[in-house]
Amino acid sequence: TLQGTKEMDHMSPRLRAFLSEPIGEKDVCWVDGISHELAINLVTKGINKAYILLGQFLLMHKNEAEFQRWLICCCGATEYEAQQSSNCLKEWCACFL
Amino acid sequence: MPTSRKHRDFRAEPVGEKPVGSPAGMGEVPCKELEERGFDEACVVLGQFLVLRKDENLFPEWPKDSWCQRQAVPGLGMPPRACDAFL
Repeated sequence: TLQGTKEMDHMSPRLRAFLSEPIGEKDVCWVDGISHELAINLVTKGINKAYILLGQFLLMHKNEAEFQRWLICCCGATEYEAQQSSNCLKEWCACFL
Repeated sequence: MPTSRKHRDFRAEPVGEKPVGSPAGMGEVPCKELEERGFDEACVVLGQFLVLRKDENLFPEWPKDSWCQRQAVPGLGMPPRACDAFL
């Protein structure tokens, strides 16, 4: 729909790329909002793949606030990174689930 | 044929805006809510599977047919049999 097209236009290229194909075995740094530094923190915790981060999001019942809190407190994300990545995963769920 | 009290109560009042779950024999939870709960629970199960790095050994006896197999598998880029093992 036209509205859908408009929404896609406002997406960052990174978000659009993430949503354009299956998650597969993409590294966690593919998730929109995950900076290089944050990716290193996540990999240190064993979260090296995007699907693992998605799994965490699903385990939290896709609650964005809870997920953001966890990413900030446990993984050292900034508020901006947490918001971008939770939005990215929320959009993925909307597209694929 | 004896009827339950719930059945008699149900028949005594207009249907009005009663939720679908109201007829005797069903819980009080509307069907839509049940469906949403089921979907939510399926998402949590999928989340658990992913967090465990898709280890099929940890999910040996899940029922084979599910929305996850039909819809989430393409999005995850997993072969169908990987989901067969857990859903």
